[in-house]
Amino acid sequence: MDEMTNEMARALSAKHERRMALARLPFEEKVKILIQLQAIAAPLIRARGKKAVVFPSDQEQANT
Amino acid sequence: MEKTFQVLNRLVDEGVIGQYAVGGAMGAMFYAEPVSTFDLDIFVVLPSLASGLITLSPLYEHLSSLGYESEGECIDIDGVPVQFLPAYNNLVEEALREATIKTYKSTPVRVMSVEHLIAIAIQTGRAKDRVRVGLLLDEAPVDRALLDGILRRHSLEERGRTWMR
Repeated sequence: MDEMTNEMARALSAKHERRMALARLPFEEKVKILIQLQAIAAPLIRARGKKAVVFPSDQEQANT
Repeated sequence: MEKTFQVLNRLVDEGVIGQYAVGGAMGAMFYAEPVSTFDLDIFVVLPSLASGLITLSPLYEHLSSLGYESEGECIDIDGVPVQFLPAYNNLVEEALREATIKTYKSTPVRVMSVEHLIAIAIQTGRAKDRVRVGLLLDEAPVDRALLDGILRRHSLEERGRTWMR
């Protein structure tokens, strides 16, 4: 079996660390990231004829 | 999101629902990295009617009287599509009973435990549930003894072994 190069092992380890750091964020921060993810994905989903609503921020909710 | 959670808490205070807990992708997000989703899954215990029937109609009517209208399978609560799912089996009932209180800003939110989220994903069995199980096992602080007990009680040990290899 081929062995993983040191460079690849480092890249995967960094990726894992990044995901763990995201998991440790406060939920409020995760919601902000989620809204950004939704804004990226929504046009693609709508182009397929499906509904995709981007959640409002807490500020936007408070203003309604 | 905070206003939506406040509405859910008010539904409990007013006796419209018995209890609720956040589940699904948003529930998982309390423990793991954020993953794209477009609705908020809320599992609920509903008061049974005099006939013994359990129905979402009184909840939908109450929310409609507050100006929140249904759109497909969801109800738009201050811009967030919320899907209410009545507790449909023993595992979900247990998850609702044993949900933990977390806070969003200053608002309390009932969230299923990470062990119950994993067990429900294993039971539901879709491809995206398998991804969620992997994510939670990798990133969340999971009590394996507690999870094993839940899987044993609900006859999910075999699939659990396959999925958690």
